[in-house]
Amino acid sequence: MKQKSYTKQFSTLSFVLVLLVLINISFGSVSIPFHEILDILLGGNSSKSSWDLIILHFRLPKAITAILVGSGLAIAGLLMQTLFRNPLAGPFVLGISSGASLGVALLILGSGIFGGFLATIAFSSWGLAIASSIGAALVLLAVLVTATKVRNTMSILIIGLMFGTVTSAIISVLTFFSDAEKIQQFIFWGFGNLGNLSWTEILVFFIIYLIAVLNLLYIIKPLNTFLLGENYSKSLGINIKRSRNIILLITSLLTGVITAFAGPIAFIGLAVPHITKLVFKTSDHKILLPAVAVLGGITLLFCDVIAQLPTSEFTLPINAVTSLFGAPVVIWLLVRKKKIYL
Amino acid sequence: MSDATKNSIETRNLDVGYQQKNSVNLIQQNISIQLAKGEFVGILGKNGIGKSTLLRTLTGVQDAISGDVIINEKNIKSYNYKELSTIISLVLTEQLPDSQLTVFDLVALGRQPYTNWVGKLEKKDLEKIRWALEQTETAALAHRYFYELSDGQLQRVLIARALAQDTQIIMLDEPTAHLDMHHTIKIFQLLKKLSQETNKTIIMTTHEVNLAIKGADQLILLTEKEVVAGKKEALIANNSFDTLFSSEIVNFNATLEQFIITKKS
Repeated sequence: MKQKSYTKQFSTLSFVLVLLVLINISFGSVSIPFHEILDILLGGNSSKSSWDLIILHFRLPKAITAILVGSGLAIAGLLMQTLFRNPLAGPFVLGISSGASLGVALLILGSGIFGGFLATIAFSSWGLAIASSIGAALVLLAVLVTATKVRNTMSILIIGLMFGTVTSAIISVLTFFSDAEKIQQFIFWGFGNLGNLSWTEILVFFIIYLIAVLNLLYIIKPLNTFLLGENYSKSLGINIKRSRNIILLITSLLTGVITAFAGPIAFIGLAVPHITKLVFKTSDHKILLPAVAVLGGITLLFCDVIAQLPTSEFTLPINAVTSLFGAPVVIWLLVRKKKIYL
Repeated sequence: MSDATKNSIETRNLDVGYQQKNSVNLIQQNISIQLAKGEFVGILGKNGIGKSTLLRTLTGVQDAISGDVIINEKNIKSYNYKELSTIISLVLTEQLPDSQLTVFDLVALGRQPYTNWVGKLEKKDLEKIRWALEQTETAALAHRYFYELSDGQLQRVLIARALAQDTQIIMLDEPTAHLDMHHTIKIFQLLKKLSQETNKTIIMTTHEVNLAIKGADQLILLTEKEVVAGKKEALIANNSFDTLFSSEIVNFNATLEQFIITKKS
């Protein structure tokens, strides 16, 4: 009995990923010759020191951020779809990103309303990240506490949606009392932004990302049994509650840290798992998890290239690009396949 | 007692039902049954009488209200999920969520209690899977997706999954629920053969009373008054079948050993 091998798909995808990193780094408002870029990446010096700076302190961090954000959201989306056995679930169903938005709204809009101390930290580079982390962490805590109280997994989905509704309502109230300038600042945050991260911030991002991803090792088998429903999972010796909590924790960490550093990036978490399942035609999470991660990185790098509007000085908000590019792709895939699977 | 005659499952004064906040919804009381290894057992009774509740309690999915379930001479409560997964496997009626599992993947999931942290299939696992597919005549379907199968094929694949789990006991909840007569009989023959050839205890709930009476080694009858268990002959001698259904609709005919529809006079 032969088992399927996915070496071909994985090597193709890895190649595409490397290629897209190079393409992504090559484009920007300043045009730098490709061989100079390679020189810089390989540790040499280019003919202009400003190019070194642009590549090493702006474009490379941004490409790495894109990979972390894209893969993290895709993993989180896959986990939610499997846990809730619902193909429409995504990383934000738990309300984590709403929590992050609330944190940021309180900081930006609140600094206008309450002034003082808030106003000073609102403009520090860590201010936004910390505010959204606190918001995400509070909702995460609320979700985990309620998760231990409810037995039905589907209830968690609805509770998450309710958290989202409540935070949106609070944000509406804050918006109502704020100046146009502050509202604009908040809306800009909501567009998402992959740039602007320093290497220190990326290090912090990466450490949290790594902690979350390492925990995946505990849940590969439980995730596969979830495809049969909870009763079969139990009869296969899976501790449902423990696995469920690990899944929630990983998803929360990933979406929390991503929203904190890059804003609420739409679409990737919902669509990439579906694209992956259509490409790989499997439901085995041992294959799917690395596959969604690579494909998530690829997708966001690609969207970022489009957002650059190559050869122009303008950039589009990344959030608009992911949705504009992504939604039609998913519609096309589904119309062709007619059915979606977990 | 030699190993072969040891009871595989035993219940002592078992009460099953649902524990609610302040009250207990008792469904069946005082169940004391003993099932030996290698027996093919049918749980019979009308809708809502507690067949599934009893089955769920026997599998440990649901806690007993009182009394004990003894599996291999040990109380079911003394096993953890992990241990139970190597002793009891299930075939349920619930629909599987849509996924892209192939028949092979699905049967391979039965090996989970034995595989490493990523679920890598070793030689022994592959042999078990192949054996399970052959026993259920589903080897030719191995690379099909499970959603492409007919109900009859899917049922055999689910039984293959339970076989791959390599447990002493297999419990099935209405394994022939959506099947026509031909496939129903095929499943019954398969289960009977497996219990004889592998010495597994196979317990199923079913509405196919006549086939169960014909094929099962032991029957557990759930009626409104009591739960009785025994071999066909003993149950006929005690007129136990008469209380299974309301006699206005169906009647048990002891000579034919079958239930027949009551003729309107």
